[in-house]
Amino acid sequence: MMLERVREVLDGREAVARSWKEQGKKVVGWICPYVPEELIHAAGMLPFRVMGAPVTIVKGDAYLYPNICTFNRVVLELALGGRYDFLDGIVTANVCDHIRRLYDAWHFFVETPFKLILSLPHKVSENAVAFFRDELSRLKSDLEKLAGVEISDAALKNSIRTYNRARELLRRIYGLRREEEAPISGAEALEVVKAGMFLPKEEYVALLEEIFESLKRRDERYEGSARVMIAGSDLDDPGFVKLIEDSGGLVVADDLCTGSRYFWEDVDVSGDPLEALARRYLSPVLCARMHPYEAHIEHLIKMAEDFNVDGIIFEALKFCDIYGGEYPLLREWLKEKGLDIPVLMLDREYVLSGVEQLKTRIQAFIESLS
Amino acid sequence: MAAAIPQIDSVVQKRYMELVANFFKSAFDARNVGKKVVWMAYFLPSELCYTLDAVPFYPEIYGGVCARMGIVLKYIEAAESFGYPRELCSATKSAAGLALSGEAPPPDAVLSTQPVCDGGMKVHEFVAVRYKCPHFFIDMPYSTDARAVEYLKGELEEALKFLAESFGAELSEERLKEVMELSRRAEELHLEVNELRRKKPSPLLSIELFGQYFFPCSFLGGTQAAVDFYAFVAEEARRRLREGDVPEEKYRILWSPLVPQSFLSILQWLELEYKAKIVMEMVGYAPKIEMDAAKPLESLARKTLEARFPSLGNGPGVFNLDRYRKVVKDYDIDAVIYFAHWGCRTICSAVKMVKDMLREEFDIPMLVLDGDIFDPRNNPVEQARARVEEFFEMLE
Repeated sequence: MMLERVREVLDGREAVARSWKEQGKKVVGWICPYVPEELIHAAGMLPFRVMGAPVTIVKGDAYLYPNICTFNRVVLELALGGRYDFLDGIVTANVCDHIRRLYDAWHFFVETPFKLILSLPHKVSENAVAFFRDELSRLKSDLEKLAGVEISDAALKNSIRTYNRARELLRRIYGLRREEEAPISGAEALEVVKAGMFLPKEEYVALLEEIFESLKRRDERYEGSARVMIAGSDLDDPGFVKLIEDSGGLVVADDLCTGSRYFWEDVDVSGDPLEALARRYLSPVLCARMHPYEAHIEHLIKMAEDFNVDGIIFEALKFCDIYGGEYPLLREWLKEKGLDIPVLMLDREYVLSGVEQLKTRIQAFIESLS
Repeated sequence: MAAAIPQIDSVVQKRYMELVANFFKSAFDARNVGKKVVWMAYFLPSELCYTLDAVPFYPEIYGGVCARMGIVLKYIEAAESFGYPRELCSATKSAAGLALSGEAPPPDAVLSTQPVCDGGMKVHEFVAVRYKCPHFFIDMPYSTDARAVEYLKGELEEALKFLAESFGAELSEERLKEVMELSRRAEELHLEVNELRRKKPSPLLSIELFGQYFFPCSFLGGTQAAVDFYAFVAEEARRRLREGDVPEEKYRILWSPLVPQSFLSILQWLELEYKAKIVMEMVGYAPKIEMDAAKPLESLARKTLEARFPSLGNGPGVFNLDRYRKVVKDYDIDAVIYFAHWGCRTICSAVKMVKDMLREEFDIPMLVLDGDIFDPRNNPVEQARARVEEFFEMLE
């Protein structure tokens, strides 16, 4: 079945990295989609998204603190336990308070050969683009040293084209979810997007082409008593989406950094590639951490309307101040615009827990929509 | 609720309380005297407002005054009822609660930023929405190198233009230079006060300013009042040293980073009864900053990036640790008390790094006190006191 390879990748993502390393090539981990993978790819290395896994947090609490979100504590737990020892480098950006502190802990306590945190502006202006371009130039130079190659503009543009192709295919796949009966469930869509964060991009593009063609012909269709969108903090667990779908809703769209935000916008291939990357990765669509907040909310609502959703499940990881603080702004914004889109706010932990309680709230919400 | 401000017989504390009262009174009176009020995110430079003869109002800092007076909880609860998470920083929630209550001077403009926290950034966005007033976001880079100073200089310039445009005021380069000259002098005098605090025994107590020696530089930077205040404190410290009128000192403590305004009684008890003198607070620490009134915005950018609390969270932890190393050496510290403010991700997650470094490099013990900077619901004062006692027993 077409999603077999996707699940194989997700079940053994480290195996993908190891097989890459067996070819004598390097793997660079990235945390948060503000890191332009294209630069890592252009240096001939494998970009690999650092994610968590269902583990008990012990060291993550001791080395960070229990008021850091569970995504970051779980990731540190894995890193301290050696799960990310295969990485030749780690790159992130000053995205949020939690990631900044995860980077500190990783810097001090985990022996990854190369570590870098980008100074990422919070807004889009010509000054900000120029500043971030300088940051990317620093990253490029460090990656060149790590890989022992020079990244030419031509190579970088080539990588950008490959990534843009993957983005285009993902947008097409998402487009199929606009249909009343979608050929792909929300949980499956999340799996498809996630696989691209570990696979070599050329292989992923080929896989997406195959998936897109299969979906167009797929007889199996999904429907629900309500069309739901998920938005909010880092959510990479298809099990959470399945919980919503098992409760009667069909997840047809998302505003997640593990979902649509990861691929919604292309990088311009004309002109200076570093500037093009700086512009694309400073997009307010990528996260609610950007200013002004309206740009992100407008994008979210436009997507909700485009995909004809009946309601939004807005989830925030416990202690996530960006999305915890975004919710009152979203509510005020909807009120101000006179938009009657129901929103359910859920606090959650990174590893799915409190399932029965969550299910009760989700079921009640979906019933209210249908 | 009755006022809970621990007052001692100190001319410095009396003068400080007058300074703080006048500072906030000027915001409450602003409309009556035809001045504009700017709501400022925690630690954004007040010099921007004074250049345009506007009055800065720092809601989180005012929340701190309310915490000292025992009246902050209603603002925190108002924010929670509105939908802000219980886990959000209580200082930030007090700012949201003040906006919701309408009990603070309404802003004519809002200046916000990200450091020190994401929560603060989101709440200041909300303040601008709530009051439907113009809002400018000052983007602070996550480093302090020359490129970062240049970037922030551009942001500050834009912020000044924004305020001038919003208020229909004219931006005067000459006025900016005057303000920055006052700012430079206040920094210089603050450094002098800090030098005096290094003396053994130190002539000043932390409780005399409620642990907020940074207040005039940070929130009255660019005013004669800040200059006069530090000059007064320095003179009083010199008098005490000259006349041998110095509080007794058994231990020299670094308090880090924030001083909880909801249980200042702990500080008072430590310093007066236990003779454990807090000779520096990390929240207010500032190194010597290169400031030149002829380069006003560059100087202001340096001050904003390099001084006090933002510098602790605004850059990878390596910078943070270097600063601790310097303070421990310069102030001959015996022990560190680290207040892990539950609402602050930046503070709490540095606990292990700082503790390990102090033990490994200086063999200095660090006591970690968990609590909340403002929220009286989360401050077990008696428990904290017991832990402090145990800690000092161990030191002895």
